[in-house]
This record gives sequence, C-alpha cells and structure tokens, in this order.
Amino acid sequence: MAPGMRHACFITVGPARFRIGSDWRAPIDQLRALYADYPMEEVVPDFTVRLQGTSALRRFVRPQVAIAGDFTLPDALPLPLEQGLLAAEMAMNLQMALGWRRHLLLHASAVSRQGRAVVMTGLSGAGKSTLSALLAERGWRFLGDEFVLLDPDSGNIAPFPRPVSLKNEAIAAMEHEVDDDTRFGPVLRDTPKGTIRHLRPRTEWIEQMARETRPGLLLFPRFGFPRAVRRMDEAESFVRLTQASTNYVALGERGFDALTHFVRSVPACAIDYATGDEGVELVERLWSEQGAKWGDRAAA
Amino acid sequence: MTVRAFAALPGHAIKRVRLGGLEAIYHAPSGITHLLAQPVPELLDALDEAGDGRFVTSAELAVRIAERFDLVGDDPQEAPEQVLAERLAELAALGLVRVRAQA
Repeated sequence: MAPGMRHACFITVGPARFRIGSDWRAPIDQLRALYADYPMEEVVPDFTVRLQGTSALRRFVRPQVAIAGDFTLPDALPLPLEQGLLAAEMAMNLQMALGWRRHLLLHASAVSRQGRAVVMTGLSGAGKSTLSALLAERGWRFLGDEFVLLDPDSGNIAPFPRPVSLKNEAIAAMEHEVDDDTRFGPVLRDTPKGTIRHLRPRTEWIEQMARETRPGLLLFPRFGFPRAVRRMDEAESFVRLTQASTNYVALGERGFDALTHFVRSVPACAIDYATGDEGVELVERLWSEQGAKWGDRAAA
Repeated sequence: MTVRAFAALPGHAIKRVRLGGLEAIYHAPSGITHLLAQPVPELLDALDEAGDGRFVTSAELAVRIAERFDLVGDDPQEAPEQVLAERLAELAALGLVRVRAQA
C-alpha cells in the first residue's frame, strides 16, 4: 500500500493498471462499487493515485481530498470529501494524460461496430461523452468516453472503457435510456463541473476490453446546434488531433507516425446536432455511407 | 553580398507526410511538427534531388524548379531566385534545411 494510505484498491481499465489509495474509506468503497465488473487483482500498477487529506487538521474539521500520485498538477484543487469519487476519477485521468507512453492518447470517446471504431473528439462539453454513452445503449460496443488509445505499431485502438462521467442534463437523458439502476454511481452535486453521475458500461464491453479494434471514422461532434455535417480534410483533422492529444509531443516520432497514419486512413466529419437522437442518427448514417465503401473495397 | 547555399537535411532528421493539400513535417532534432503549404514541399523535393547533402544556391535551385513550375512571387518585379532565397532562409531558420555562406 502507498505510504500513509489507509485504504486502497487496484483497478485495471483496458491496458492500464491503477492502484488507488485514500486516507478515507468512502471513496474506495464507491470506486469498488462503480468498478465492480473490472479486474481488481493486486498487480504491479502502472500508476498510483493518492487521495490524501490536505492537512491533518482539515482532515477532522472539514475533510477535503487532494489529488496526488505519480504525476501531479500544482493547481489541482482539493475537493470536498463527498466528491472523493470524482477526485479519484480525475486523478486516474491525470495519470493517464501525463504518464501513459504505450499509446498515442486522444481526448476522445469511441464506439465500434463490426470491428471498426467511430472516434469522436471535441472540446469539453461538446457532447462526445454523452453521444458515446447513447450509442453504447443502442447496439454499439463502448470503447471509452474520455481517452482513445491509439497503438503506434498496429494503428489499432485499445479500448479504455471507464465508467462514463455524465454531467448535468446528460444525467436525466441517460437515466431515461438505461433500465438498470445499479449501473449508476452516486449523484455528485456542486462539483467544479456541475452535477456528475457515473454510468458503468455494460458488462460485456468491460469483459471485451482487451480486444483491440480498427479505426473506421473520425467525428468532431457538437451538441446543441442545428443539424449540419461538414467534411474535414486530413490537415485540419491532424491539427485538431494534435491539440486533442495529451502526449503527442512526448511520443516524438512515434506520435507523428501514429497520427499521420490515423488521419490518412479514416474519413473525418464535423457534425452538429440539436438532440441526442439526432446525433445518434447522424452517426448511424455516416457509418452506413462509409460501410458501403468498405464493402466496395472488400468486394474489389 | 554574401551568397548563401542550401542543402536538404539528412533523411533521418526529417519525416514528411502529405495530408491533403498540405504536408506534415516532423523535424527529429527538435521534435517539432510543422504543417506547411505549397511551395515548401516542392522546395524540399528540389533540394533532395540536388543530391545527398549537396549545397546549391537559390539561383541554381530556381533553374531546377523552373523546369517544372512557373516561379512567380507576389511582386512580379522580384527575381525568382530572390523569392526562393527568402523562403529557403525561413526554412533554414526553422531548421528544416541546412544553410552556409557560399565561398
């Protein structure tokens, strides 16, 4: 166990192994519940995450958790203890974003069908996370809502299917979509990002998370705008993805190879949509159009 | 005025990938990625074709390029080799081509 950490658990998501330690029991219990379907064996972790009291006095007066770990940001704010689960999730993201080197990391969500993935990227709040969650309830395999891991050697995507972090209006939308209440985490109110509730992916997508998939389509979704589709060229996709990657620079030439290969191998579109249903329909339509081309190529 | 000569980088120092109408260029010594438009890829091609590490002046390069392209600057009064010299100096400043004073 990490020094000073009274409670700890191990969680494996896709290829990444985490050890999360905490001064308190509550966040670890919540993590165990939310990640119940994930491998939890004690392994040598890739990352250690620590949720620790910001000071000995505060720990008793008004508990707050500070995020620490192998990688830390100087301005990472302490969160109230009730948001310890959120702190753990943020810390896991931080470790991946700053420390992962085996894949090119894209800040994006992804789903797949018939062995080909749709990668969706965009600014925070653009709707990529909710759209991936919706698609995952409607017949698509869920690969992740936060990071897409692109293998520089094979060009494949390694799934990283963490629980979806639903924010604000997306919570009610997904509660309406998902029948099984046990897949939802606790409601976390008044966080820096508003109200947050986690949704655990379907068990089958967690069981299949070691299986890589080929990229098929790249989308830049924007929720809350009148329906529109715009084809995006390779150079613009490339620039946007260098900005969406947390480790492009760190990977050097491997990152360059992986990203140029990726944007040359998949068609890309920016899509605007006003409602979740419209977003799903657009993805389905673009997928079918592209699927017809794959079929042509396979037949040729 | 000192005449400057330019040469391509050795192959291991630079990686170029065409992305639609632009070219992504990875500069290994700095780890920086550049996204460059016409006529940069054509200039780099011409330097490559000059031979392995061979230095050529902008005037020599202008002759080579004129065999395949019309060289016209924004200002028609400006000599093509002058336009080329400016573009090559910019590339040299980025480290994407080598430069030296011609004896």
